[in-house]
Amino acid sequence: MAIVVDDPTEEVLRRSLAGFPRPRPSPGFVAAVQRRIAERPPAESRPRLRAGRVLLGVYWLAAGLACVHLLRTLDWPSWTPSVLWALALAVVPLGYVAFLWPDRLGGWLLLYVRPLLAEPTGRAALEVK
Amino acid sequence: MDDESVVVAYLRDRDPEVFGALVERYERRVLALVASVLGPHADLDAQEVAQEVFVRLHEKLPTFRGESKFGSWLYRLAYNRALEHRRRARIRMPHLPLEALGKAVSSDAFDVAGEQERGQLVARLVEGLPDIYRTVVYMHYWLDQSVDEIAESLGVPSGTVKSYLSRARQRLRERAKEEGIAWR
Repeated sequence: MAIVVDDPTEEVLRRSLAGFPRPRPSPGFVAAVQRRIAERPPAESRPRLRAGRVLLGVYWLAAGLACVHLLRTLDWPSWTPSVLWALALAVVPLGYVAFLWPDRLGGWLLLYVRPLLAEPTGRAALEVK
Repeated sequence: MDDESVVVAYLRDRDPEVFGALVERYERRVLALVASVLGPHADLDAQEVAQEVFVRLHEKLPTFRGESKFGSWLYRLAYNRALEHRRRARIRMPHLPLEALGKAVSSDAFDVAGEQERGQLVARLVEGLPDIYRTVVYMHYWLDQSVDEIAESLGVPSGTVKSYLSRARQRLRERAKEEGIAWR
């Protein structure tokens, strides 16, 4: 069964949505906000939140130190530091960017890598008029 | 006194009445924005979230550096908070199957459907729109806000709002067609 709407879209929307009650701030809106603010201590003094952050910080610090300690005990080949630096300086940030903003990475590659691969045009890269 | 001066005065004196005045100044606009994000089936949630926005504003006020207009900053906070709430709460409108609507109308014409059924059906279609389109549709057609008011609340140019509205109507027409509703 086809349902037919004769009104133009705008008019249909306006008329249909007009049936829903419009929101109005409740009479005690400001007082309710003030009460909530009074009941809620400032973020920096919330002991549970602060304790949680400290605990999490300690956990990650311990995990990091344990990783470093374990890695140092292993027998690594001499070229390892070079590879690690290359990873840290190029591959990891690029992978991060590619994961978060694949379109931007593509754009950067087009912008900066394509000119390097293209044939020289004989024109100056930057013309000052 | 302009908003920025009120903020500075509040941060200096911490007078609750000053903050209360700021809330009063913006409560309607913030509630309208929040309600438009949450939709017409979440009135109580809208009140709650709007209050929460002001509580968050109170917490974040010291970080306001005046680089943008205070109103824009607050509306951005409200929009993000409402969207966050909507996603977390998975607000859904009451289900209204098309078959039930068919029974509710006395002929094939949608325009003889009861106002309530029509509203439910249109709201269901609107709910299927992307966040920003749905919000501007509710702001404009439900809450009767002008294009300029919406632009101010969302921090975008008026032309962008007009474009959102136009694309939203286009999508609604397509969606209605898919569901067998001839929307002329």
